[in-house]
Amino acid sequence: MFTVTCSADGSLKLWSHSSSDRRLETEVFVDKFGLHHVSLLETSDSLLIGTVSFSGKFYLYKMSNRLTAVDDLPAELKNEKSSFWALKFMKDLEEDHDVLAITMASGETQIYNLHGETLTYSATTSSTEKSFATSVDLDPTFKRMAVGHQNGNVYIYDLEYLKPLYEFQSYGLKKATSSSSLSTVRCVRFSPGGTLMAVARDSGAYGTIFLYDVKYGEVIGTLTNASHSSNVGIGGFAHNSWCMSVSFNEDGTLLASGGLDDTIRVWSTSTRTKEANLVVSKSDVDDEALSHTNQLDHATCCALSFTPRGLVPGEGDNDGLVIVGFDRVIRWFREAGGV
Amino acid sequence: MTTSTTEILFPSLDSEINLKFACYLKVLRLLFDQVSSTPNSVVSKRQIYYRDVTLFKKQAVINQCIDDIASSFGVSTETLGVVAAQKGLIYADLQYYYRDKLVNLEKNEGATLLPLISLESRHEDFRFISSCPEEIIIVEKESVFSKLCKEHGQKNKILITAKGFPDRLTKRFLYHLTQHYPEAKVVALVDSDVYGLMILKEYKYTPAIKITEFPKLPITVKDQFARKTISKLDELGHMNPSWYVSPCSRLEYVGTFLFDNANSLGHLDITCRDFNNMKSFLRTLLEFDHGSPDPEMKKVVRELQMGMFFFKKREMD
Repeated sequence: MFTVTCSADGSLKLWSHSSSDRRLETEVFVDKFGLHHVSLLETSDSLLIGTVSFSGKFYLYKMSNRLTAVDDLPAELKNEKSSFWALKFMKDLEEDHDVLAITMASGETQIYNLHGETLTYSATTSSTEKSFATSVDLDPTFKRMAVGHQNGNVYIYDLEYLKPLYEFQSYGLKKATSSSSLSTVRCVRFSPGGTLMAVARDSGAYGTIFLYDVKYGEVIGTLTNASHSSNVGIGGFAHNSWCMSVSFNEDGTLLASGGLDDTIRVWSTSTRTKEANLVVSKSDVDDEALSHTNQLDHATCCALSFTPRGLVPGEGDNDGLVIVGFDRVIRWFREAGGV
Repeated sequence: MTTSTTEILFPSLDSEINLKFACYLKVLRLLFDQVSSTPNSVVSKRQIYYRDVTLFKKQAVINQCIDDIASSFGVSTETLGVVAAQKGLIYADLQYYYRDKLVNLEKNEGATLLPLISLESRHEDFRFISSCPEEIIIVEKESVFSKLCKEHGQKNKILITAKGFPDRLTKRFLYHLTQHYPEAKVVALVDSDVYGLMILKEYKYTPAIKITEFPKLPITVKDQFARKTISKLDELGHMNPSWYVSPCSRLEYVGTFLFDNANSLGHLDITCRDFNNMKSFLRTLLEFDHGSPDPEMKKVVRELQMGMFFFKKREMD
């Protein structure tokens, strides 16, 4: 019932979906370091919100009637030495065996089991990967976990044994002169049903999206923005700048992607072609403070997500998108007709 | 100055201690020569070090020795005629009197080492003749500095670099320069990485300049940038309050940013070490920023957060 956002000023905000105006339901100041990742888990009577700050700390909040902090965390999650980064909750389909996966700067990923609102430490991935773990996603159907790294590698783990099943390396550009990676993984997402995985990676200054088959560990293809120019270099790019976020819709037929090029693209996952292009207008916000800040602050997409159909009463049953931008704006879109 | 005492007994069975004794003796001898030679001449610690490299082995040994000796006599190192070697470079058309001696810097002579000044200089020691410069640009790196020197040859701008982290002399000089030209815009060009931003902080926020006449000075130092020290009674029984201020609190951060079209260099990955440094630097900044609404601080914090968020850094081009 809420869109939950976290921001670099350290606050967590809940925006209500009960009506079209999406008012700010509640907010809480979490950490002065600023927050960067947030993940949700709906339980029968409440909503659990996990968030990570730039100091590397994890915070858990519970929203029932009001927003309260959950302080009773396992020692592993409170460890000051661990520097957490991305996180993801997973709702178990059958039993009451919900899971939290949280990545660390060291390249490892920790798994916690969740009973009610109590987290217990389960395991840490046994991997030789030392590169920064930038993104994570969980799939409840086949009990898989995908972790993306700074160097462009993506691993699919079996959640039960935490052994890497597949490793997907980046085929993108490599710099010969330095160890610097040009293909940082920005986002990994399983499709609903867990058969597909979408990976958003840098390719130099551009953004690519790869689709992988999870079961056989094969590349299905890339999502490429058609170009009429013969001057386009190697590789197919999905975005003209880094693609920061991808999201599948409820039935997995569509994938939305957003990048620093201020364009939101919607792709068909079966044909791997572009269905729609949303150019986000920057002029829709009038903000005095923005004119003094640097260039990135005008970028409109930092992260996006499909919203469930029929979420807001009176807005129809079409797909909807929510996009948060570096320009400090949250924009909600909905599909007008059939795309 | 530290108040701890080091005891050295000579001769000793410990060769280390004997060596140390030799060091102190040698430094004393060199300092004596220095003080008794031409009056007002100075020698740098580096020069002393080169007088007997085999004995001293490390520059740090010398620094320690000289500081120890100075504090034992209860005088400043400057009184002994010892100064730190200049590290900073300046490129400017600038004329001023320092303690009634004319100093003339000209751009057609190229970039020069920052002129020596006492680390206990006072505001009145300077009398600037040149007109107020349009801009004072502080650059992190020497390579960028030399590039900018070529570009700004004709303009009324002053360029300064400390080649990395600023030394005390550069900071002191910048402090007096900016206090004498209160209208000049002061900008900093640093890398968008944790070290660049730390250097920026060093110039802008770290209170490292000791001043003793705070209220009289025609300056507007924001209270939060000045830290008062405990007043000390001097030999004549006067209270001598002193303050520590940052070299230049009005310094503006103008580049380079992580996302800056004008920069033709690509991004570099941050390492795990960078990430941890950024985290602890962020902590330092946030602790320093006690509620003062300083937009420049926000810029620095934001730049750090963005670097961490995108796992990237960028160098100046």
